[in-house]
Amino acid sequence: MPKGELRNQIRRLRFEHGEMTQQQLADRVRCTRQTIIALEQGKYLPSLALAFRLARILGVPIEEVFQYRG
Amino acid sequence: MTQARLRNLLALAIWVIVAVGFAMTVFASGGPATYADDSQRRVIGAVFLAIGIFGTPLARLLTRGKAQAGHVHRDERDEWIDAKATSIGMIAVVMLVFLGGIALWEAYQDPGCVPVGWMWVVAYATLILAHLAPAAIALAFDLGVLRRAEG
Repeated sequence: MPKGELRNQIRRLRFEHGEMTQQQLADRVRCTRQTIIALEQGKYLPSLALAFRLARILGVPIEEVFQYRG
Repeated sequence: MTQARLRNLLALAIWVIVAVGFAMTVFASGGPATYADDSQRRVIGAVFLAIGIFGTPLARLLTRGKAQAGHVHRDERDEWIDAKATSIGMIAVVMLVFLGGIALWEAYQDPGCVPVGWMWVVAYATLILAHLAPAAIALAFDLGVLRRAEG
């Protein structure tokens, strides 16, 4: 997928969710902090399972976390 | 630092030491042409290879520490990076061995035979590169030097 097609709001949602730290979010979705950093920087596209876990933990629909700009 | 990044850094360091040590040994005094007949240099070369072969699992053993309470130290991104680095690394090794073979053929086309010492170089270099390349490529993906990973 070309760079920039899939954007995410993880950083914003994390702060809106009680200023959750990257490590706290990583622990809750069962991934490493480096993966959260890579996701926020747009350097990693998650699996569907991780994307759904992120949406569930952040308490929003998946399309509010990830936006496809094709 | 994640366990995966630490392990790749250690593997890279170990195999760079092996590569430099072996290159210095094999290309010293007479080069590969005399390497096969020089038992002392062959032993030194084998010692360097042993450092890599035994050092890699030792490094993995020393870094296997249990995850801190509630923390994950290996996830899908690490798996993706490892798989990608291994496949790219193996293709790179095959290409380098192929190019090495062609270079030897070009260099020794006229005499009609290759000094047997070069076979040691090809064998050792293949093993060294097979460990070195995936570790370097995995670090490049992990640190964001290469394009982004996809789960």
